[in-house]
Amino acid sequence: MKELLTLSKYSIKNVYGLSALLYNRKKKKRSPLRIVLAVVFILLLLPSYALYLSFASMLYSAYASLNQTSAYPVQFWAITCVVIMIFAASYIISYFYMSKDLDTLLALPVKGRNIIYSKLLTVLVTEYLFVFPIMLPVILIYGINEQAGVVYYFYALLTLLILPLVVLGMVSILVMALMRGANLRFKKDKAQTLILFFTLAIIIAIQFGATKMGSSIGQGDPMAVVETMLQNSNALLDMVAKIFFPATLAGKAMVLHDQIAGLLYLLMFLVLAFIIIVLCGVFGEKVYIQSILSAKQGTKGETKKKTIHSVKDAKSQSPTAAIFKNDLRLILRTPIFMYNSIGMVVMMPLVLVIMAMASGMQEQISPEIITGYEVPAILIGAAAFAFFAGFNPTAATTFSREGQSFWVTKTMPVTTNEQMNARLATHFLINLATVLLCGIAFSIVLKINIAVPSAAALLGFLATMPTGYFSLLIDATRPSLMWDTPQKAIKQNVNVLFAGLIQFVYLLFYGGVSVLFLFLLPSRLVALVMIVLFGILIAVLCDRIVRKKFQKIFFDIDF
Amino acid sequence: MLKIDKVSKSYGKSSLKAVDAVSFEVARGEIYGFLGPNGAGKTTMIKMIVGLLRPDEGTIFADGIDVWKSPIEGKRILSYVPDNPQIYTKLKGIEYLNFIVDVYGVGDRERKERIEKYASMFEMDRVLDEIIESYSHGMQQKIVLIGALLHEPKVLILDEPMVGLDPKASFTLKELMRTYCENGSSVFFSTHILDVAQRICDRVAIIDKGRLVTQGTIAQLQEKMGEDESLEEMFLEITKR
Repeated sequence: MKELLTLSKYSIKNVYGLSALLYNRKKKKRSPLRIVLAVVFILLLLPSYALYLSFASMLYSAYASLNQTSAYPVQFWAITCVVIMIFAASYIISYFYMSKDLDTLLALPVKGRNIIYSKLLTVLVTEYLFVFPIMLPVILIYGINEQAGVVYYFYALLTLLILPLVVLGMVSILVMALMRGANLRFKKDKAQTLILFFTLAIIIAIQFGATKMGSSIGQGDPMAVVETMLQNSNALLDMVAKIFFPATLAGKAMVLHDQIAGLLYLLMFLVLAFIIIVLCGVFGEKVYIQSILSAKQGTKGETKKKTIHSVKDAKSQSPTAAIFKNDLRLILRTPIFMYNSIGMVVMMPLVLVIMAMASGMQEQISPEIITGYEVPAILIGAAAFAFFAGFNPTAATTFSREGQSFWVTKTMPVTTNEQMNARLATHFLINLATVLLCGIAFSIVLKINIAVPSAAALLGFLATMPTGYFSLLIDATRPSLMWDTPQKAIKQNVNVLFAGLIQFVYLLFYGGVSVLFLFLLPSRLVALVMIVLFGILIAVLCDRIVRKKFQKIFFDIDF
Repeated sequence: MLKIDKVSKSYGKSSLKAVDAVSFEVARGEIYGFLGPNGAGKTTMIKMIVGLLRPDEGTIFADGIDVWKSPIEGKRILSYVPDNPQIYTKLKGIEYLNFIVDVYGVGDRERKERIEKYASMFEMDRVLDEIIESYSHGMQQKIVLIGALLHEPKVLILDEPMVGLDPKASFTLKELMRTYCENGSSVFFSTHILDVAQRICDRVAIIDKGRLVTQGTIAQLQEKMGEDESLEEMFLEITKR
């Protein structure tokens, strides 16, 4: 136990940079801008959270009116399990297979299962950050309305702490098994990419199921929504509850807290949780540790003898082209980078088409739907596409992704303009691919000529340009270079949040200006031309401003 | 070839200087050893020379160019091999080398010649098509070293270059440093292997607690410290004060 605690303490401190945080607080100057941005970000999240709280409360009332409140915590736990699962796969791949501390840990005289558990506990901290805000209000809403006593809150607290660990254990076993199987036939990176995209496929499948269920429910009265949900025996949540069986046990224990059955459900939940956790340790020791050791034996220093035919093929290219190519290669070959940067390109158009097909919308839509409304359709499409593409984290992590290799970038004789052009080219290429694929998806869904979605895609792309420039500047100002898993460079990089914030604000601003043009100008076509010209003007301005600022700060990035 | 003038650097809020008013010069064709205990300021000094850390005070000239006022020109003159050779592990060895020659603007003919020459010299020619991630630490060190040599810089800056290299590669590197300097370039390197420093350096400098304590040829140092003393004995004596 002491060994596990020590390993977990080290792992949590290391992964979340707690020691570095304390050190920096003492040794480095605190930037007031960072505090302001953090506060702004929290404030921006508050309305969405308030919306969630009112939804949770409204749903309880709907369940109560149908006298079905017992389903309320069970179904929320099922939803939470899905949320945990979505985030868990990439975190587990990152911490289990890509973390740089593996060599150190494997060399220590510690039990293999304790290494696995310490990593699991580290991921658990991140999961708690999602689970607590989702489930605490649900527990309170149910508890207060049902006038539940201390036993209920005790059961709820136990579930809150243990269920995420159980789900993580289940996902870990699945990932370890898949990685083991995939490693036999593919290279490690390819296997990781496949698993990550497999997770995406599950998310899309859930989206498909949710949309289908939503369309069968219809719109309007929330009580009718709940009624249909409860009546629908094939409902998605039932399926999820079956997959995550411990969630059902935990939910029932909470509901029947005042009966002996509740205690029995809780005991069953705890026993099941114990079995899953033990299984995870045993399975991990047999599969995970062994596969890591054999992978290390098979790769390090045992490269095959090959001839240098590539030297003959090499043709010189400009520094900009070389950096662009290098950047793109690193994204495509690092599973976590590819998943986060390119995943959206694949996912969003797919989700659009699937949602339309699942809801039956495609059959109801006539191709003439936008006739006479081409300009508003272009603007709405552009806003939607810009929303999807604008949250691309590529530019906001362009230097962070290099981590400890950043010295190469910093010591090469390349102008700041060349650096900027190359890195923005990668970012904009992904953005362009996203908006164009979204455009094609829309064209398929709405069965319309490609011209309107194409125009929307290009305008949408224009609306993402300022964010691209400023994202690059943000990452140059505060790159996250000291990471031990690529997850930290992109998914846990606060620069991505700041970039998202900029995109959100700019979309509001550009949307507002567009509406103004539509109202003030005599024709829609003229308004559209003005909107495009305005977008180009802003993009050019951003280019100028950022280039100037980047030139000043790039050489001052300490490494 | 390399002129460091009263360069200082401190980190964060600390008033303690990691490098404190250090000045020295490396002549054309000279191998200059930079010695000092752990945490003395060697790597900080090197990072300031190659453009990774901006000095708080002082100037750094490479072949007459202020490397912080004209960074691009300065970087064309210098080449750097860090103590920890972390590079893009997802690239193949050959892709990394092609990337380096592209950013340094080495022509098509020279690139092929040089890659073949240096890869063969360090026995890396048969593994260039492998992904860097699969290389051992020593092989990664070699690929960084080859990358640093491809544009044939006027000043080669090496931070602990022998660490991780096998005896043969270490010998090759020492020979190469000598040949390199005979052709008019200069080598500035930090090391803890005092025996190597004594044998191959034209001059050495010893830095301790951020301050340059002494510098000169081995003979000059012996003159100051006592004729029979080895560099190791002199180093230990100087740094214990």
